[in-house]
Amino acid sequence: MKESLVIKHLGKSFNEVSIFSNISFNLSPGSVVSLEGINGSGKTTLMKIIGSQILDYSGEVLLGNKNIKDYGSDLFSNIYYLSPFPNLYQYLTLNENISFFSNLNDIQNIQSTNSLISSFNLDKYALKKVHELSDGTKKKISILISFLVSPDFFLLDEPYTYLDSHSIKILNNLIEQSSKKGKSFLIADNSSGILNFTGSVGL
Amino acid sequence: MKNFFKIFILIIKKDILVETREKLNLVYLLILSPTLSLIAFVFIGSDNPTALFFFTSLIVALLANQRVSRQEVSLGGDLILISAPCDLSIVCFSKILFFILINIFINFIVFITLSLISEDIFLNSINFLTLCFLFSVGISSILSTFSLMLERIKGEGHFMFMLIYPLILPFLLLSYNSIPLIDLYGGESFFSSFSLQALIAFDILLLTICPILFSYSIRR
Repeated sequence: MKESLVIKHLGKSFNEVSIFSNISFNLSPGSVVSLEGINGSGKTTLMKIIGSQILDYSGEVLLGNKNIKDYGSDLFSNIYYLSPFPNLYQYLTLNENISFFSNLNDIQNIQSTNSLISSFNLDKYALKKVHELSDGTKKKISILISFLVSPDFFLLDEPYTYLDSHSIKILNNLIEQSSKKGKSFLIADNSSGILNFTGSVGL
Repeated sequence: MKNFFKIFILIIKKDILVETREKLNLVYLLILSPTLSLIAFVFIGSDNPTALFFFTSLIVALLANQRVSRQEVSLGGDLILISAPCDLSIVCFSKILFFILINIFINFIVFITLSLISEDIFLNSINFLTLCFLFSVGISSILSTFSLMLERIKGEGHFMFMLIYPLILPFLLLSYNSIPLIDLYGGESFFSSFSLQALIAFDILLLTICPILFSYSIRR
């Protein structure tokens, strides 16, 4: 049975100014939770803490009764933080980027890679360098990579930004299919009302 | 271990591919290295061209390293690697090797420039190449780890910098002491000199300790 991600009394302050405090919730297997809050309320910071990008905070994040700080690099196979800005190598082509990430994360399934590329209509950009592509296409590549890594917990920070309606539908389908397989999602996006959430967290 | 080499080669290949495709750093180094060599030659003098070579290489390496690590961070590349499910010491180690390659390129350009403007430079080529290599390994380890840490560490992580500091001064002093020995000794005496042997020991120490410190400081 898959484990839940438990967030206990999480708090964060910058220069002694509190951003948020005492945030507690569970991300159980198969759940799709919306993270809501106004701009500057700390949604990205909260996601970065859960994704182990920020290590200086109060409270704890537990994965299977073990603090995420006690995990090694294998944590990143279980929890994947998708940044609002696509983190890709600009001077590598789409294929080279995907190949790099696949090798880095030891992904062997070429079939699922190809089907994801086709579903996002990215075939025609395969040999183009990333810096030549539009922001929307870059975003689709980042999303594609996150689904290739296929962690148990997806932390999607503004995943819908730059996406057209067709791509939003594809992303929502992917989220629904993955959640049925037990994958969990924490999504911070003010325009994500189209998706059926199983819960929400307010900041 | 197989995974270590796989990821190590993957990162190195990616860096070389990006560098040769973008070419910005290579062009930057092609302009900066001869310019600084000429400035150093004019203002410091040509009494000791070998020392001048190492001094110029050190300054160019400092500037180049800063530039390369900035580019990686501005494009979000550091986030990709730091969030990768692999040991961070591999990331640091591959960055060190990549910078050794850049350093060799810098040494080559500075050497060509100084050879053109200075007489009787670098009499014993094997001794000189050995010292060049040892100097490149040490300086690449220190600079790569420093710049990677500087971009990522905040708060208590600064303590880690203090752990590396004591290693820099002996390394520079040993390099400086080895320079006059290049022309003074023949091959065997040069290799058995205390300065060179201590420099080799420091290189090994730096190559071992820098990736471990980097890995520990980022994920703790």
